[in-house]
Amino acid sequence: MSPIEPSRETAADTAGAPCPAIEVRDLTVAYKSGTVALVDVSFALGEPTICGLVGMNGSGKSTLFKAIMGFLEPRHGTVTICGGTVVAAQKQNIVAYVPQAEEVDWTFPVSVRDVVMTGRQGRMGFLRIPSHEDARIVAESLSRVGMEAFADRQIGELSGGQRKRTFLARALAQGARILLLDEPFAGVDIKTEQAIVAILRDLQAAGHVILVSTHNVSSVPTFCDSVVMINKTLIAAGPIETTFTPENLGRAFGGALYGLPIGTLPPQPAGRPSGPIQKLFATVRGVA
Amino acid sequence: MTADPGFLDLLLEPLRHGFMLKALAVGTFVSVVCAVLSCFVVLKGWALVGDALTHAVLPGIVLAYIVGLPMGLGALASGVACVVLAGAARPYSRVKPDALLGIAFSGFLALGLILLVATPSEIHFIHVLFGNLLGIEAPEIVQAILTGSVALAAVLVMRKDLVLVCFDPGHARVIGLSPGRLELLLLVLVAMTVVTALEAVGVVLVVAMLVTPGCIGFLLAARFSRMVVIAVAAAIVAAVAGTLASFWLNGATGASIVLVLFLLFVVALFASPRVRRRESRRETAASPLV
Repeated sequence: MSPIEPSRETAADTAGAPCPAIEVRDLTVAYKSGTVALVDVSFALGEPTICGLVGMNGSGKSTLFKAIMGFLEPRHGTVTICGGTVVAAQKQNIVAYVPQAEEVDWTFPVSVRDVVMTGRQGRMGFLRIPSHEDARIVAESLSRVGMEAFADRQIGELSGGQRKRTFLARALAQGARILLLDEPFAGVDIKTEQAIVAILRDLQAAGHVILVSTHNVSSVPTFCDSVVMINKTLIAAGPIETTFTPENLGRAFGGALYGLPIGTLPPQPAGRPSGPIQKLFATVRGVA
Repeated sequence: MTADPGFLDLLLEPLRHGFMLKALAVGTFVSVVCAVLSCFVVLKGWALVGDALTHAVLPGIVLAYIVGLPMGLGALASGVACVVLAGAARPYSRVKPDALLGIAFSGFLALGLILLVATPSEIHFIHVLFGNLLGIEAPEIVQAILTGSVALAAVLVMRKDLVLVCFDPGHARVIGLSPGRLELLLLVLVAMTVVTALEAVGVVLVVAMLVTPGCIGFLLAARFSRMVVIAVAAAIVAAVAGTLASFWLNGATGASIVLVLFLLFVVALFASPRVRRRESRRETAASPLV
């Protein structure tokens, strides 16, 4: 079975879970301001995978992440995590999120260890007092990403790569089955990128489902085994070999992809855009 | 009083008066509560929210007086209502959140002032505006200690989750907490703190006590717990020094405390070990002011 199947129920059995880790069905998300960010997106991630979520800036990658994390209510459609609701998944710490660097307040007076410990917080008692087990898991997560020497640094004193490792360690400490990483390679050196990819591969081997959003398309085939392409709606979803094609890339990026041979782009009508997809591209191109 | 008092006598003179001891005790307690909450206000980027709360309490105070309810209750209700309303309007408008909040709280303040003028009363509402620590009476002291203690206790119990919702509300949600509920809790606690501090420094200046100590702590500490300790220490110094100074000024206690806080902040600004790497902060209601 392929690790990813667009809009079909799968019965992948991973880590004892009988249903798809993430199932997105007919998802449409609109903001209260009226902007429709996603239209009818459907896909499912079943088996352990490293799945790239690719699309241009403004294509709805962040919106899709927010919907999977329950930050946004769908206008219609559903997001199902391991057969249950998003809220149920959160109570069970099934999903971990590694935020973009820009989303974090790096001046905040917390140490690396403090941040990683917040990965355990949802599993602690009412007073949130860490147990020895929590401390052990935090230390283990820190050493797994090579950050144990920096555990007592304030997070603003870290380099870009160390910052990423810190938040990856938090996701590890959380012990979630599903990991969402938002632009994890933005602004990190090649050594850190390789280290992060190596950790992601270990996690996949251990049965985790990993969704990585990135606009750096060229790196996707080097570390992903499946891909979801979106551009306000689903363009394609499936294994890298069959889905990561120039045709799909052309549709996802509407010809805006740098370095793509011109022949692989979809034909551009001279007059008004014809189909709904072309209209969509036209608006996106207008913005870009 | 002796004709030629020594320096020590000058310093101890205020302590010979019962009202001064009372003012020092209440002022210190209020300052500690404000300092603890100010750490959350600063980290959440809620300086403007604090300002809004302090101004929006006024109509609630007057209305509570008219119908005979405790004024603290009215203050709490109208302060929270103002901020929640401004937040609720956000998704439906292109107006920036800070502008919405500014419009809302000045509207509330204006309403409060009109009610104030229209209501004949024996209560010195000028004390609500500027505080009256030196003349504070038993009922006000009881109210301040009550609301302040509840707010402090709640913060102590919920501090881990409150810090997390300041630092990373997204992660808080992902691990099953409710950032919305926690933010509302924090808002209510800040409003209770405003009520606690009203009699001491008044509506106009209480925002300084809700922001400045936290900023001093933020400048000098790299850990949250240290930040709180420094904020509380600065607030106690300001409360004691300000109250003593106001004895010789025959009043303006709140203003004296706030001025000492301001001076301490300036010292902290230059004494802070290093300028940490400035990164773009998350967008918050108060971002233009912080």
